[in-house]
Amino acid sequence: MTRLNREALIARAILQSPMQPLSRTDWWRGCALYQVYVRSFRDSNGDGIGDLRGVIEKIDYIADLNVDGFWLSPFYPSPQKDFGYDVTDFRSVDPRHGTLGDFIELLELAHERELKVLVDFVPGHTSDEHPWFEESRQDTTNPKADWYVWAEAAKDGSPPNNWLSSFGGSAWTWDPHRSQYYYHPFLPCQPALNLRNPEALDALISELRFWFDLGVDGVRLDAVQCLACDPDFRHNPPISSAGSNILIGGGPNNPFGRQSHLFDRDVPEALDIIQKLRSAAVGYDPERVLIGELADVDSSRLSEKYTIDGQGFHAVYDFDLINTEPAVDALVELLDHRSAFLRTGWLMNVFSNHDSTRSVSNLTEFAVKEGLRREAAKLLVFMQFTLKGGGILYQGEELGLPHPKLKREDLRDPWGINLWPDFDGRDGARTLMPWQSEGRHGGFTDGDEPWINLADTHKALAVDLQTVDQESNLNFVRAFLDWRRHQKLLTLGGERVRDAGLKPLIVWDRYGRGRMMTCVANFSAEPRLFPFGEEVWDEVVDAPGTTVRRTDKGLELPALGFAILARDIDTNTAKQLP
Amino acid sequence: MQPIGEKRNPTTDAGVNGDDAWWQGAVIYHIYPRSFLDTTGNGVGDISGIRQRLDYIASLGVDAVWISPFVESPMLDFGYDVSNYLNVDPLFGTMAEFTSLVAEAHDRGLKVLMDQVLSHTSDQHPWFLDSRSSRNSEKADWYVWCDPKPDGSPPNNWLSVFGGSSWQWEPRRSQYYLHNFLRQQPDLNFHNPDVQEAILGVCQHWLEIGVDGFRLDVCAFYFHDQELRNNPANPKRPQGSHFLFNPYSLQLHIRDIGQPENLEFLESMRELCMSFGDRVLLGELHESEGEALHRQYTAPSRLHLAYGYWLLGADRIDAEELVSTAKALGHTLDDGWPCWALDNHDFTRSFTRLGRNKPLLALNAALATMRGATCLYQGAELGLSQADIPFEKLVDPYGREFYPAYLGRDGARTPMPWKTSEDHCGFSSGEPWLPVPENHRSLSVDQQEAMPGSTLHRMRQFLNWRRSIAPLRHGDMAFVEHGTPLLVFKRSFKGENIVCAFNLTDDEHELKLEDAALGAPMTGHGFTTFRKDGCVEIPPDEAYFGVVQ
Repeated sequence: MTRLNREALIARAILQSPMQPLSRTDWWRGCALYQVYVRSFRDSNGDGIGDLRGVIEKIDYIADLNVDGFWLSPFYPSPQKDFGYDVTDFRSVDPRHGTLGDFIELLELAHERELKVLVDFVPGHTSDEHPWFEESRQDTTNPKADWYVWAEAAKDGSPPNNWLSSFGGSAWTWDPHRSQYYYHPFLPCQPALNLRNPEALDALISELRFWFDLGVDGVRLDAVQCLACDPDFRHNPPISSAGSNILIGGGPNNPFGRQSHLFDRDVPEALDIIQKLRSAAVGYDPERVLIGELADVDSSRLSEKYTIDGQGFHAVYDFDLINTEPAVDALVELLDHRSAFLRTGWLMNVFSNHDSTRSVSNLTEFAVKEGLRREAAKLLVFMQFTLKGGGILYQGEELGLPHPKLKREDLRDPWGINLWPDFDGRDGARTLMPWQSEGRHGGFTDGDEPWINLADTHKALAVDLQTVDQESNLNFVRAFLDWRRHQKLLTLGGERVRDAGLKPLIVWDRYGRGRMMTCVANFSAEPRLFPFGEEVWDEVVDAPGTTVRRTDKGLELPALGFAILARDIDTNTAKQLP
Repeated sequence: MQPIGEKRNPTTDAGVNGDDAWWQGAVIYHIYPRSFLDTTGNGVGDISGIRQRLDYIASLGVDAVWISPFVESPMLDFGYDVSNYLNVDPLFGTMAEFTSLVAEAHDRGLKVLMDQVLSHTSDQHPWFLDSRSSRNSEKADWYVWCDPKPDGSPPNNWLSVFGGSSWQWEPRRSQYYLHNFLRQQPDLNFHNPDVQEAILGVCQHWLEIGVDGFRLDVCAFYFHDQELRNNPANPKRPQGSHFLFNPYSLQLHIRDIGQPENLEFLESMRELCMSFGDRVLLGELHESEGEALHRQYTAPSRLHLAYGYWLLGADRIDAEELVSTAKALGHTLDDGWPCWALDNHDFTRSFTRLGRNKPLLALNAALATMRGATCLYQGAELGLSQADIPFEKLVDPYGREFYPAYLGRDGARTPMPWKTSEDHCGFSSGEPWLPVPENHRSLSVDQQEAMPGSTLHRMRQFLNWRRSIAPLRHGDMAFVEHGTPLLVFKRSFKGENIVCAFNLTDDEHELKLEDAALGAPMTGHGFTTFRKDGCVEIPPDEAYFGVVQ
């Protein structure tokens, strides 16, 4: 196989004709999706763990958010050491989460409501209890011996190289069955598949097709930076003394962050694998969608490579917005960077997920401290769904939930337990969905012991209260997304991010076919004026939640306010746009 | 002075010379308290259980007991991870019960050796909780801390005995700490004088309570190379299933353990023991180069006794093996004293390990007769086999890590079978922490007591007989040339000479020596041989003892 270096690939992508605004109308471009973390969404049988029947119970709640579809976090049979990201059977449902029949029923109900359904698919590794691994580890000659990444010990018995797990410790674990080490970029119970082995890749693809055949509309692919690793197992060099600009999970001192991950993340050998995965989606009508999660790398820059039109993933789901410094300059730079690097590819905007700090506490802590949590949460939703790409709203984000502070004894996540207190893990984003303000466990379960507790601060933000409050985050999200789904400029238009000269205002344009919308977000807890200057807008768009108070000088934005202006653009102006 | 053969003098004094030194040639009964006898019904054996069975232990003709750890511990390594050195873990009982145990053992002439796990603590020990809290804490330097290499990886190539790197990242300090075993067993930094003082304080505390000495867990692991240099690869990569499963054996452990500073510290320990009338130190030496270490570690003013893994790890033990091991360890007057051990809580029981699947009375007798002390692990007197335990019932972290290449230590730790007809063979009225194997039931103590000629009776008879013969305890040892696969040596003490011959093979052999060298046959030890003119016929698994001039 040819090993193209990354620059050559990006150049190849740029040579493809750049996308014209509004020229392609695939449903997933600019869509709004909702992420359901099944374990914490709704428990229908009282065992303390959320399940698919719980999602069925709440399907109309999801539909009423006016999203285009939803993505379900893993529900496959699993020892649950990494809460479902350690799969033992790709074709089934863990009894804790329900049955395959439940899934099919959910799929039908969703499709009746014109909701797309995506499942989370974990291509890079399995559980160490998966039958494939149990066979592979038996000896070096069995039919699946090469399905995982095995290596001899170094001469002194230590691991083959210096690769580290992002969850802490070496990325190699000794296996006494084979007297060899196996590679795991995450937990030792998550051995990496060797997808460069054609049989292993074919087997994985047939698992993927199982879901496509059932009728799911697409998959969110977990951790696609780890689809392959360097075949020669070369050592990663340390990062330069200046440090890395790539933000790595696991807290500021995670040793993983001290390496430049040249050989264990985003390696050229992954590209052939990605193309094969894409081919698996092509034969369906409509084509099934692949959204790749890209982390641990400069994902804004690399997204182009992973989403080369028609060959890679349909879109990348990255961590840059989650990991960015919560400051206007940094945000503007990042947004501009994202826009500039995408010529043919696509990125979905994500501010929160089950792995992150909840966005309102992460990006707008300054506002939460001023008592402006609700306003800040609305601002973030506004940004997520007016920036190019569309967005994936994480359960609870529509309620503006703040990130709870957890005690050590509350932790369930092995990552947090390993790296506490430098890093408190991912449990804060995984606390229970608050359905009811009164009663036990927020209406999540009728049982006695949920797997994780409801956050105290979430009770007053429960769905039942927000439903009857016209000013609530929930009602804002419903109204805004309902309005937005008909705004082609916002779902499919081109994008230009303006410089930070008006900070703390963040300003960007969306455009196409002779019309431009300018979006303004006041990223501060003070009222701010957006001056009109010499530009002339013909409309202050009256979208849900936006400011429409204009004076001669400009638009008066309250603390954390946001607005949309619109005007026609002539051909000359259009030519100057990216 | 304690005359041999008379009623034992219940004192705790232990001399250093000649027949004054009870430990030379002592038989030490090794108690694994979790599995000895449970008196509370919680499924775990306890101190009271040991007290209830002291008469049984004394009847075996042993000199001392070594009790595996019973101090406070989160029990991740079943007590070898100590969180409080100074108190009995409530699981096992109370301090008052322990002091009673010591007094009651002394009443029966039994010495009490306590297991001291000093190389490392539990990560729940207050010392470690303080040490890990910050680089500036009071005990910041009490454990072995190091910055990562520039690429974030651990400072060197040292490996844990239990698998993986021996360095664990600690986010509170943004540093790695050293652990030679589980990551929950951080390694104490003995280079710090405060640590040495604290550890000696722990030992003094127990000596004041009245224990007769210590079994020192992994006593070559106390110090590490302060420059943290890599271990070299092992040029003679050991072959065989015992080593292949663990990459630990691919290194020569010359930097992480076995440092010269260990010896100085053991001299401090010995000094402390001397101030109590020379209480006894029995050290555990690890496998690699154990024989060379043994000479250093048991030199005068260091350990009284030490045991290595020579026989504990062996799949096959014959006379040649025993002779060469004894010669390597040294058995002249100037040499230190070994402690022979065929079984313990860390190794597959010899009944199963040696592949003979029968009680090895002659081998046990040989080890109790060669120059040196002997450890008798609970259940060995019953001829217990290694228990088969399915993976789902394994609790040993070492076994769970390396299963199924290595099944761990649980199979040697199952509860003692006391009573044939009771649930769990009378070990506990509750559900035991490890199952009592069904094939141990017919080997229960009560059944064997009732059966003349049982393994228990034979072992008891032999050990009591041996105890009354001073040369077999304190004497010099000389191997006798004879040209057969028999093990033959002579023990000599104060003008008394005894020739000992053991048949460890499956065939009968004749020992042909001059009549004077064969001497007059002794009786009372329970073995059967046929003394003829100029020869003794020794059937398989039998032994001959003769008094020579």
